[in-house]
Amino acid sequence: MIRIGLSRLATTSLVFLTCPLWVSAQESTAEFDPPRTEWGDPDFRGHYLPGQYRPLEIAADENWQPSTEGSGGNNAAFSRFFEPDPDAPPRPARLTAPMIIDPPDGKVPFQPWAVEQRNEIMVRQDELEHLDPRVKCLPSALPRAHLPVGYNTYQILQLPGYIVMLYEWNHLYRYIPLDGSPHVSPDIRLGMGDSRGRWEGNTLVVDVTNFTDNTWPVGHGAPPEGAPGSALTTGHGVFHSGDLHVIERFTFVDANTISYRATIEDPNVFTQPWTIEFDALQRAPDGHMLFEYACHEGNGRGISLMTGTDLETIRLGER
Amino acid sequence: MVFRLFFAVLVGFFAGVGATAAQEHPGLESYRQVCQLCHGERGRGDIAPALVPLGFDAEYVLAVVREGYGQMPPISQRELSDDNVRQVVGYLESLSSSAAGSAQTGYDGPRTPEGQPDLNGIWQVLNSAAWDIRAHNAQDGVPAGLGVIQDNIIPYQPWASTQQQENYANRFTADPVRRCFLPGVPRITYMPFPFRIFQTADHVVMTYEFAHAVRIIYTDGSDHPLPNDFWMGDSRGHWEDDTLVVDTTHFNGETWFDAAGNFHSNELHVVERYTPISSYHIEYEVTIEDPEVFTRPWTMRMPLYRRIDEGVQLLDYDCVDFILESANRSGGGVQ
Repeated sequence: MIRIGLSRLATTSLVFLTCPLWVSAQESTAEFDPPRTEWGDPDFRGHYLPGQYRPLEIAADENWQPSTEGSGGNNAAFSRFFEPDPDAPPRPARLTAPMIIDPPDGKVPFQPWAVEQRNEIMVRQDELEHLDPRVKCLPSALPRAHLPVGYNTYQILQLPGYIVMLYEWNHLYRYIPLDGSPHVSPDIRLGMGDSRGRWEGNTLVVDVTNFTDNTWPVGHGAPPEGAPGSALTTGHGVFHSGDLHVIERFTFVDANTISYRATIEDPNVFTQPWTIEFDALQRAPDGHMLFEYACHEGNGRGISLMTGTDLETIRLGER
Repeated sequence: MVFRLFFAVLVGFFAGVGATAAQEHPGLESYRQVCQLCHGERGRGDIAPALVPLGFDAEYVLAVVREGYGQMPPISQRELSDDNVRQVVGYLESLSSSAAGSAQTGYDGPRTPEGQPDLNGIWQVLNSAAWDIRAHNAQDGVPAGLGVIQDNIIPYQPWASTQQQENYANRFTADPVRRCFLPGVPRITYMPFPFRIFQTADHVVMTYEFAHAVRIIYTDGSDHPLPNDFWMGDSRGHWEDDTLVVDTTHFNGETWFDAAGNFHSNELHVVERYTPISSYHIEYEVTIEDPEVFTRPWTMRMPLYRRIDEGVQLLDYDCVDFILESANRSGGGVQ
């Protein structure tokens, strides 16, 4: 799926091993006052790594257990490859609290039919139509681009009236105008949605609409093989319609940590808006750069193995 | 030496462009022939010191030219007559008196706080180079075009010329862009889609509507990283007066220059020059070097046009989506 050289992997592991930012205090009482740009806006410029892994949701079905038979082979091989290194620095304590803070039960507030639909999607991951859009190299949509997904880092640039967020993931990007301009025509559909931002004190608030309907708004980590959607804590299989509306809030909690809150609305799929919140961006060490994440270019073999579909023979505009 | 000669050729070529717009200075020809190799294009300095602004009068310059100075060899009357020297002095003085930057194009537009020309905006070509960078007649779905290559010659090595013809014959199936692969550089620039330049103090980011391709061009003086290969290469930029010069290497050799099978290897080295010539136009010049495929460097040139449509913004051309839709329509299992 991902065409990444060895040096990329080495860089990534180096970054993670040397980065001391995980231990930043979770609670900061006084609101942090971030530095300002030359023109007076809170200064979000810089390179960032994803935040620490934590589950997205509380599983609706907490009784499901992974099968202990079959398909252990891959995992066994994987464990051998990544044998624990006794000299490695201790891993940070795993966060267990879900990202979902509203509703308070930590569950995605699906409409009843949508619960079934999610289960169906997860059962049919071997079909191209239902396969995780991340695996198909479609855009991440939002807020998925800010979840702790592997091989994703961020670069933020600012000019007066504009913020640009660059994502290493699938060379995605988005422009966030801060000039009060309205969303583009509802006839226009965009993989990353149409973002319009504003400042509320030190917080960057972004309103995003005009999404397509073939992406997933969330989904990170690795779902256990064979798990129905209702047993997942990773957000995989959560889907949305073209009426998805995301309101994001980016707030510095200290000089190196940006807290991220996203409210997700879609009256066609959910019974109410729901909100996730967590520390999503950690300032990267000096010298960090975004590498090219050419996704689709090396994806043909993987898609073929997973779904039996040969994308290599399909060409645009072929006559 | 080959490199330097190539630059001399390139520089002469570029300097020639200005002459078509404005009357060529009588001292330019002599300067180009005798002085430029060491003192650089437009007296900017290279291996020898800059001569703009010129701090000496003609008599002093004459004396230095005849007798030599430090590393500079004496130059004979046969190479450069006294009158030629005075013309060169006049040429350098004319460059010294014109405002910095406006010397090249006569255009002096908005600048960033750092003093560079402000290239921020949405840009697009208006040509048919994406189909064929050479002069070509129309075909079904392909507009005709005069071509964008200097002299309309791509100096292929013999084997590469054969390969290009084969590529052309198979272009509907062999073109990597038809499989929605990243188009590489410079092809991404002249795809028939807009792109946006986002220019800050130490970066020029170019984001493209086609396949949401991105180039992050570092203008912070950093060099190319350790060898690696990328579809879009690794781009490092710097400013030469009012021109953004972008040096791109580390290509994977799997991209084409156009839909007509013009190609390169992973030894491709691209030098692009972005020079604003009005509020609405950038002169885009790109020099291609690839000793595996070509017998010499060659150059393309075309204007970039600012998109000024009301509310213009980059939209999506996510061709992966089209490929997937096509696969879904054909039942998912083509294998």
